[in-house]
Order: sequence, then structure tokens, then C-alpha cells
Amino acid sequence: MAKSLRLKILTPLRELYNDDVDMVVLRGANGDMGILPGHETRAAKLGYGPLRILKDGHEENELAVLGGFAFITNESTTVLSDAAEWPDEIDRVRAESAAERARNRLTQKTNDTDTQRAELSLRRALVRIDVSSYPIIHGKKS
Amino acid sequence: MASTRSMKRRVKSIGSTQHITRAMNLVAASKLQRASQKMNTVRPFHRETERAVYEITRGISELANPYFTPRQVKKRTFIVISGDRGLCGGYNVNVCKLAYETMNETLASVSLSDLNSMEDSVIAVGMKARDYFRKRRKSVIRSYSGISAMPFYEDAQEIASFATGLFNTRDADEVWLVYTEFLTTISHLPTAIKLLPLDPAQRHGERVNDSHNHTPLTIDFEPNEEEFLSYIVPKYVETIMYGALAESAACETASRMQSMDNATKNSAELIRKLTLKYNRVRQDTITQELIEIVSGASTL
Repeated sequence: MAKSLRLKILTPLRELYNDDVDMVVLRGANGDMGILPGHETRAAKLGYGPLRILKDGHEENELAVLGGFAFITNESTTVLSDAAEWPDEIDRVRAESAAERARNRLTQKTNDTDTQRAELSLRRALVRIDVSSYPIIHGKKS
Repeated sequence: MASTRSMKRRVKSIGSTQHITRAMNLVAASKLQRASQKMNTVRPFHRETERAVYEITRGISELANPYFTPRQVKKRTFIVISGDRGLCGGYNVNVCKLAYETMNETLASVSLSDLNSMEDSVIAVGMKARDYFRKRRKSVIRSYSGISAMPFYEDAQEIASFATGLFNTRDADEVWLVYTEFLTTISHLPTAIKLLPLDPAQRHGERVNDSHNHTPLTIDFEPNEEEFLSYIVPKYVETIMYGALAESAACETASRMQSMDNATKNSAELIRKLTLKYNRVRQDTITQELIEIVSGASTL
């Protein structure tokens, strides 16, 4: 049984993370799941949600992952996402105004409102707001 | 002699051509830096996606999904990535030629009765590919210009979704992608791959690290196999598309840089030769005139 779990997080524009971790919690299409070393092979479509990384017994970091998929084997987890952001990269003001806009679109519905699109952008904005409030801890927690 | 003046003019004209090629070389060099940087940022994502999809397809026992089922091939679509502009050596021609050959190669293997019902169409990225296939009377169903030099992910998404759509509506039984792979600054490889239907057996294995044994994996799919596959395959096509666009863009600028460098060198050589010839002719004329003066004076 593999003792370590190699986590890779990639987007088309960059590589966000590539290191051994203790555990990773990510949001799949059916809800959150925690991945430990030795997990069964699994391919999962990801939803919009925070991804938490636990390393050296501490909760090390959290980032926003917006869609994509994850491929999990017993020793590695590869997250291939359309977009992923660290908390400090998120423009909170922009995310809040995006959430506001999407809410308005949903409450003042007209016939040509693209409800699905508005809902998706609202969910993206909410994840961003949620993650941006997370303290940025690189390395060990004090 | 009248030729001295025309020679002088020629040297001057080559000199100004050289100025242009040198400038283009420098422009291409700086663009190459950006293009190859872009390519290098996409590559890990591209490779990882390819590897994951490869592993996942190995885990599927029943390939009932339409994306994996080969059909009787009647219509094929070729996505050909070239540049918009010339003056870049053999770059455009090489990739178009490979696409054209791939079309004909596979045509040679089908029987004559099937041959008549075969329909090939082309999605051209870059004006050069569009012109090449129009000239050869292939139907170019869509062409994109202005994106091949600086591709964005959205461009790849649009092309990919169009091609996947053709496949889904059965307007294409096979989708091929022809692009140029960037090996080093001076070596590029035109490559043709079959995008759809996905064929796990015929994966371009040299890229995927194939040290694992071929026992099928048991994979747990979330939310379920069918939904996952119908999500992942278009995504995969998109990713491959974007990678191919980025590689091709880097190749285009690299080969433009190289061919402009050669042009600059050649014109320098030409100028050297012409100047030498010009000086010789000039000296001959002076000698000739001197002899005439001296001999004219001695007769007096």
C-alpha cells in the first residue's frame, strides 16, 4: 500500500500544485470526497468547490477549483481543472459583484434569461468568495 | 558601361531586402519566446490529460459509448492547423501536405465502391491551409483566420465543439487532427492523429509512458461511467486541440525566424559577390580610359 499521495493540480494555463500530501478533499459531482493514500482507482467529474489539502498533519491549504475532473489512483491524484485559483489570487470584490449580478438575473427572470448560465456563474462566484476568506498558509500552520 | 549603374542599383535593392528580412527575423525571435512560453505552460496539462484519458479508456470494458465505437467510415473531417502568412520556410506546405497524404493514403486502402461514397472535409485553421485545400477541390467547411499566431483556449474550445458536434450528428464518422509538433527550435514534426472515435488500442503510445502492464483497471466512475465519458471526451478533444494550436504557433514563428535568418545570410553573400563584380567592372573601365588617354597623347 502506498504511503504517500502525490497531488497534482493543473489547468490549461499553469501548474498549481505538485507535491506529496496526506489527504485531499475535493468536491465531486456527487459531493465532497476525501482521498487518502491507497484509494481505489477512480475517475470523477468535479463540481465547483473548494479543494483542501492536508499535509504533514496540518490543514495546509485551500483553493477554488471550478470544474474539470480528477483521476485518482492508489498513489496519486491528478486534478485537471478548467480553472483553479489560490485564495490570494481571487478578486473578492469582483466575485461579490458577479454573485450580485447573477442573483439579480435569477430574481428578475424574463423569458430570455439563461437560467442555467446565471446559476453556474452564481455558484462560481460563491465558491470564490468562500475560498477567498480562507487564510493563506503556505507551509506549516503556526 | 551601362551595367555599372544597374549593378549598383541591384546591390542597393538587395540591401533593402536584407533590412526587411533582418527585421522580420528579430520580430519572429521575440514572438517565438512568447509562443514557446505558452506552449510550455500547456504541455503538462496536455500530457496529463492524455495520460489520464489513456488510463481511463483502459478501464472501460464495454466500449458502448458512441465516442469509442468505430463506424463505417463515409465522411471524414480533417482539422488542419497552418499559419495565416507565408515567409516561414516549409512550415505551411509540410503540414498541408501531410494532411493531404493522410487523406489519400487511407483512401487507397478502401475498395472502389466505397471510394465514391467517401467524403472528406476540412476545417482549416490559418489561411494557408484554407487556400491549399480549396485549390485541391476539397470542401473546406469552416476556416479560421487570425488565431493561429496567438491561440487562446476559447479558440480551441470553439473548434473542438464544432468538430465534436459534426461527429455527434454523424456528419463526420472520423475526425482527424493535423498539426506541427515542436521538437526543438530547428526541428518540427508534422503530425496526424485521429481524434474521434477514441481508440484505446491505437493510442499514440510513444508519448504516453507505457511501462504499466496492460491488465485492465477497475475504475470507479463518478457520477457514473456514461456521464463521465460524455463529459471527458469533448474535454479531451478540447485539450488536445489547444495543445496542438500552441505547438503549431511556436513552430510557425520558429520556422519563420529560421528562414528569415537564412534569407539575411543569403542576401549578405549576394551583396558581397555583386560588389566585387561591380568594383572589377569599374576598375576595368578606368584602366580602359587611361589606356585611351595615354595612347591618344603618344600619337601627338
